[in-house]
Amino acid sequence: MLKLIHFFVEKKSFVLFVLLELIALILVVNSHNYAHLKLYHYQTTISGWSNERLNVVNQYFNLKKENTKLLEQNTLLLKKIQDKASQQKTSLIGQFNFIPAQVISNQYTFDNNIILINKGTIDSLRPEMGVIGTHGIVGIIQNTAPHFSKVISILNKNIKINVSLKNTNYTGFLEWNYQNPNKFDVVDMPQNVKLKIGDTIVTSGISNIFPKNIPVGKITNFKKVAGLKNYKINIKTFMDMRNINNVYVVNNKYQKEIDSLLNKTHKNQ
Amino acid sequence: MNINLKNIILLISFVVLQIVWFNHILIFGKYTPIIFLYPILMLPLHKNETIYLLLSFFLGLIIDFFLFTGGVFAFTAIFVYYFRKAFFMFTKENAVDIKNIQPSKLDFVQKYIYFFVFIMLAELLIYTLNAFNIELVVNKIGFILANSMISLFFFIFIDLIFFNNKEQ
Repeated sequence: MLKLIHFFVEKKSFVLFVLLELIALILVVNSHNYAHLKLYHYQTTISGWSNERLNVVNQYFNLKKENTKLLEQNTLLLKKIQDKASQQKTSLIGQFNFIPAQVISNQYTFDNNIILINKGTIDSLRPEMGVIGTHGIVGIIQNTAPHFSKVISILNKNIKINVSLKNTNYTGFLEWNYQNPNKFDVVDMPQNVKLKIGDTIVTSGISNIFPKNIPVGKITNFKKVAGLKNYKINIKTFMDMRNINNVYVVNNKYQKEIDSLLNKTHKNQ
Repeated sequence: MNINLKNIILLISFVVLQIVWFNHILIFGKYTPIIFLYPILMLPLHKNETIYLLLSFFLGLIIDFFLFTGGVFAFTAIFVYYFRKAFFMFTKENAVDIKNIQPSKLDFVQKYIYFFVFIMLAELLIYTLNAFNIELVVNKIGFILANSMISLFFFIFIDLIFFNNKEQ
């Protein structure tokens, strides 16, 4: 026993080093577990609060660029209103509404990137709501605190979003290729669809997280996957993930209804 | 000023700089320099190891807190702090030489090789622990190398402008 105590005293910095590395590793492993731990709730609140204050300076320097983007967005929205007016009304019109929010922290350099926004449970935000930006999809809410929410960016290896080729019902999954924040792959797109470079990829609307037809990006290249009857498509997104400030959280009014129906179906199976 | 206090202030200042400014800048549209390691690399080799180990851990943890990276930066900070000795075992012949080393007083080439080795190691650790997938890290080796070079540039800049061994 004395020898053991002597060892710990003699090698105390080594023992401390091993202990601290172990604690750090446990924290790393826990951070990869996407369970909604209480710890993350507090982290979202504190980190959100401090990042919001730090972000004030960045917002000031980006005012001119942001104004241009808002003008572009207004133009697009006006066009959409006109298009909508000319479309035939369906019973689900108004299925989605949009809650505006501001990005207070945005990561794009890792493989598991996270975004923080300044709206939370007080604004009726909840996990698994979609987030879109001026030019396309941004991510999905992972967890929420009263005033802030943590969003899994589309630049994250844990996210796959159902997308389709514009004006068709052929779908595939959007995945980040980890090389460039604007370059993505669409996998599992069936080979019987006719593709050409420059075609637009949009959200499919299948998951009910994002409305149908939100523009995602343009095809830059595609190839047939050997052994599978699928295409692997390279796309360049319309949204510049390095420059996001204003976003909209997508609220599907019928989400609870859809979820309870799906739960019943799963229980019956 | 007391050397320990000076080192502690430097460590905290660099972590604040990393969180407030360097985490938000993108060089050539995709590279983010990691500068918080500079004061860790400049700490004395065999003095107050317990205090500096704990401080490196907590400061790394603060960066993790802001980046939602669990304990990636804490792990990296103490790894770099502890394994600096190993680097000097390759360059110095005996234990007495190693005990007398002050990283801030290394010669130009030796200091920058020392910086580069640990920046590269730290970047590799950060991306490996963050991705939890070796294949992804292998695909990103070019990016990691470029990011390390950019971080090294900032280290050299900081070293030459602010810490150019005036007391030597």
